[in-house]
Amino acid sequence: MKLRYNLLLLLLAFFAISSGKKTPTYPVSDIPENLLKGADAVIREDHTEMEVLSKDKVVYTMKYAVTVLKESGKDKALFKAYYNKLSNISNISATVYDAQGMKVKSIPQNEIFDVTAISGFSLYEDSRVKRIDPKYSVYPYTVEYSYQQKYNSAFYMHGWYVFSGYNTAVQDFKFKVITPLDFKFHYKEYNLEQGVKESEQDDKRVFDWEIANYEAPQNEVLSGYYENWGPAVYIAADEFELGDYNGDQRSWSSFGKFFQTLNQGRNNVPQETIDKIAGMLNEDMSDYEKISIIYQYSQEKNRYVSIQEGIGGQQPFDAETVDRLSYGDCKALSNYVVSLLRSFGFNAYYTLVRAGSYSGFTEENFVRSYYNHAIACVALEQDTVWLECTSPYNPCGYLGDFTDDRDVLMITEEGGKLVKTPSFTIEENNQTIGGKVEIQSDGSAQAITHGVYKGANYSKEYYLIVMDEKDRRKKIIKSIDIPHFELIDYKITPHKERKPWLEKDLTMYIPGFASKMGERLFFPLNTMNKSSFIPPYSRNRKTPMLVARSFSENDSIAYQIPEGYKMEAVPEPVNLSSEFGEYQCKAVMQGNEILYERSLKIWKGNYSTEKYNEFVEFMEKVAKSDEAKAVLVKG
Amino acid sequence: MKRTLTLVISIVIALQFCAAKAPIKFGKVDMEDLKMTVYEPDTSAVAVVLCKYGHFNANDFRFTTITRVKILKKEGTSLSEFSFPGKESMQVRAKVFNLENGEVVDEKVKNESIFKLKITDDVYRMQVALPNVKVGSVYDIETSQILLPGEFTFQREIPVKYCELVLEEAPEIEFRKRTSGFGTLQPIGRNTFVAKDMPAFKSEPFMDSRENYVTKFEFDILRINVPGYFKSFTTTWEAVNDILEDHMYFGGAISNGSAFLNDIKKEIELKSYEPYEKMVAAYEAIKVVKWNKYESLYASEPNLSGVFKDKKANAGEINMMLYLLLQKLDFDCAPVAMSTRENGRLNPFYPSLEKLNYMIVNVNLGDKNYLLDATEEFMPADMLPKRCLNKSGRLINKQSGIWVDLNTDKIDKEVVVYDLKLSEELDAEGTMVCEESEYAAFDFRKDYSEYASDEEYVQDFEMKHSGLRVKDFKLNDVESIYKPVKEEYDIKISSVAQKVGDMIMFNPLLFEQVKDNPFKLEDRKYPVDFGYKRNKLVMSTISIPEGYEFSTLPKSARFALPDKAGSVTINYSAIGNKLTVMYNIQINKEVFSYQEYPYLKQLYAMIIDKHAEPVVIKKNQDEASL
Repeated sequence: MKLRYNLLLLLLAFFAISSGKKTPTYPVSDIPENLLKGADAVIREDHTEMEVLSKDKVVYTMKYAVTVLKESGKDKALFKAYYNKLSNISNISATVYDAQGMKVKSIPQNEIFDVTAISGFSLYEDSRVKRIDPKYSVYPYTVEYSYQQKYNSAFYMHGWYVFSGYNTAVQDFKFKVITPLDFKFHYKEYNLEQGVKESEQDDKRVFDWEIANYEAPQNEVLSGYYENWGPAVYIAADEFELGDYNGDQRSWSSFGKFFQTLNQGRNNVPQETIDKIAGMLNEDMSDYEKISIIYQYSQEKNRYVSIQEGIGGQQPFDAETVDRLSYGDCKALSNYVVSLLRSFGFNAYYTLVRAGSYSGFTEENFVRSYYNHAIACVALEQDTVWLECTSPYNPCGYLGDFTDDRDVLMITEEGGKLVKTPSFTIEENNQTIGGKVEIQSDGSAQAITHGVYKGANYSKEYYLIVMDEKDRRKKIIKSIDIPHFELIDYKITPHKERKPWLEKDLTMYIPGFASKMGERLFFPLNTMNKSSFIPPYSRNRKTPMLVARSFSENDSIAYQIPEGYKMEAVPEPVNLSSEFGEYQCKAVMQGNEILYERSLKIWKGNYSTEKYNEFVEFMEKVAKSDEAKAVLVKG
Repeated sequence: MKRTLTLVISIVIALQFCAAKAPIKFGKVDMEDLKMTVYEPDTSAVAVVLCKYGHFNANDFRFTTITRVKILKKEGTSLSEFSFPGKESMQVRAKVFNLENGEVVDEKVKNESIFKLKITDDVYRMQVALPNVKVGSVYDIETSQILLPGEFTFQREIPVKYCELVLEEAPEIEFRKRTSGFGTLQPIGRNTFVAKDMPAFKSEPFMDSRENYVTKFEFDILRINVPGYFKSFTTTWEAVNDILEDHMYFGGAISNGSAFLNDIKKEIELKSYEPYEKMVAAYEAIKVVKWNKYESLYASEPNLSGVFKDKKANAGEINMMLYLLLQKLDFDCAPVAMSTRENGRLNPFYPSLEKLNYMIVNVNLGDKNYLLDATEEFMPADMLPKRCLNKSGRLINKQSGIWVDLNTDKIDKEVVVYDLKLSEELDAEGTMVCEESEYAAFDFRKDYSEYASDEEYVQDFEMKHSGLRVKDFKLNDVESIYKPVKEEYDIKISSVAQKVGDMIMFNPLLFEQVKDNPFKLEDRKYPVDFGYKRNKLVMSTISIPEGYEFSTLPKSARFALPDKAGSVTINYSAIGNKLTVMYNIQINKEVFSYQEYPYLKQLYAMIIDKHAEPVVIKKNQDEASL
């Protein structure tokens, strides 16, 4: 395939020669060779100037040009700029150039669309987006955009990533911050070869960052947080104004105070509701039981609706409104639950979190807003209870893999406090399957299995409970990794405890369980839990590896041998051990049964780039061992 | 005598029904509905539509729908958020009812829960979040708009207990409706239609389109004659033809000049092509304009020169340009208006302009006709994209049009050949050669084009084939879309075989072993539609190490579906230390009815069982005794 690549270069050279008199702009021939490797688009330049005029006025001036090399990069030519009530966008211009760098067209103003930027799960948001589709597709071509965005708050100073998509190289990146002399902000650099250049010009402070020839990053599995491998700078104003509120990002404590002010006076739960709940509580109850009743009251009464309004989506609507409408977004529901708990004397706190199954990255020594979600936290003398207020089903005190194991900002009267949500231990994040399989002499089998799911597995299985019967049956059948079988019976039993667990009982008839060949029956020993996650082997990995959660699996299945047959052979026991985890499996004869036992443990952790392929090999060995077969023979 | 009486009674009943009042009134809820806790016909339903009432009023031409929903489970509460597209004038009102201490408490939905969002300048979206909806709640929601909606559905993803549609006759408006779906509708008089106890609608895999099976009416306005406004619409397929001929964005767009295609035309005429080659050249030349992924029957502008300059266009525009170019080159060609698979089939007995959403080109060459769609870069001229394989379309011409068959004789064809050597370490090394033709080749090219680099392609290939490492590979004819694609890989597969006692087992079908039944679900209500026929051939040759011999080989087998609709052959043969396995599956029919579903399911079950059988080798007896 090297040929194709050379052809491209040749073509580019041709373009360079053939382009005539006018000075070309962004000719493709100017792209250094190393930036074409694995790239479908190249950012030719990305220049941003951020001028801070005051705590409530920041002006961004941006210009960037992207060359789309081939079809797979086509979306990278689209322009999208988001804004909301606290910002506006102006002076958008867009120009298309062909491969030689000759101007094809300017995009007229009436082709700049202004649409709502509502995300898939939101019912209402005030954010909007300006969009441009350059409507050109003779590859390669370049489109250059420039625009200005004014923010009415220094809260929106975020910093930058040089990354602008996988398979996208960046040729020339510049970021400049200009501030008044008395304006203070803090910044943190990641993976930069060359740090900031600071200077003073005309009574202003100027900060310059530059990166040239950044090769196209590839999408690598388990690469973890961008900050571990990609160039970035985070910026946050020491002090800002947002709407009518003053904010201070110098410490977690002061930053938390800002959110506390936003929420002030929003704890107005109607007395009637408090009285109603008081009737449900009594003196003999433990604190956990009381919290549980209050939490369930909100779960049953309210539902989650995403309506992002108010102070740039930072301020919840008040408890009285939630009480009246019986719905709210994560902020409103968390504020409601916190307000209820406080009226009963609990030290409950509104808590901000960066949610997502990859736990977010919080730099303890760098204060800024990392957050996209809110939860509630109750501090007891010897205990802390965490509450996910948007879930109607979670047991009280259970956080799933959406918010587990990460730094969160708890908002207290004294200000913000950085605390960590609980993580599941390897024992807690467990799946255990036991079962009995009766093999018949025709190769068919009846299998009865019992699975127990704990930790993050609980929420992954719980979705089955909330479906209607037909869909549930379909989902269960689909989830069973046996090619053809009849599901005779099933039962799902959730145990909504503080550390919840879920039981799944299945009874199946598997017609072709064992392959009958002459005198022999061959059958797979691991039918219920074959390892399915095998990451791809990598030839040229650049990023380190992150395994975000520890987990463990235990299987124990007894195979009953049919009359007239005996065991001829089973595989040797397997014991694999590596720094990533452990795997054991063995099959032994016990009476007229073959007992198969298997266990897998994977440790969470950060591993270096070089370790990645070792991990792949480990997982491949596990998958191979999971394919093991036993052989029965007549006699 | 008795008979007359029955007749009289039934007339009376019919009259009563005709005069009957609306089945529900907005905001008037029965205590019974609030007390209800389970919907007996489907006890697992999370919510049920108690009544949906659609009414077209002949006096003010407004169409009003009232829907009353009962929430039965917590999961059903999310069915109280709505999002409707509409114009600014669209009206919505809603009320929520709850039972509190035996009393009905109702709550009118206020403006704070209704959001009118501006999407673009003239398109709005109403978003409504009903307050206080919990298990046990009942709510009414009413929407109204001018004129009929495009469709009225009697079935939903939750069961519908009762649904009634009243279409008052208005002399000024003539419309046609088309029933689709599997549910039973009961007509009462001329204008009223009732559906009772409609089960929840569930989509199934390999379904051509949900639109063909959900119970609904589709409306087509035939004529509106309101003072100051007259328009005639579809009454026959011939009339549809004429409307399109006159339509500014259809007939207009293909008669407003094609000078912008002069250069391409000249270039093609410079070459001395045979007619077929010339057609292909025109088809390929139009592909400089890329498809913007919009399916459309119409052009967005009455003149196509602008979109030609943009080099990006919708499906209708691309094929109109193709039509214009072919016409310039003196081909006997005509546009074909059609409906895509997603959009549902056309019905010969219910002419409908609304149902048309796509356009392709028919070319007559000698005694053959070709259907062309130039939207897909990797599609050769003699094949249509899968979305177009939807029974039949209407050829549009000056003679009022005719039906054109959209079925294809092209298939999805794949050949995979392994030639491997098994080592004593139980690894296998050798070559893997794949060849894809027709639809399989198209799918490969399209998929391959999505990779930013060959490194990514190989990495993904290895991920799909666990344990496989590609040492070297070559792709042939990826760019020559009129030829099959051929991929040649030098591979190594680690631990391909397993040792159990003195036996070594392996599966000679390797990655072609079918392990998953695509038809896992127990029953099926709707047909299975593959779109086109399939043929897959696997040849696997594996040499075993010196000193070993074949101990057990699976038996060769052949299975077939009734009426030669499909067949499977698998042959195992061993000569010396070489094993050869040949596996072939042919699906010779595009559509299988739900009655044929069990056969398909069984066929796959048999393939899976056969494929699971391992080959067993053992150390040579002589060697072992040494």
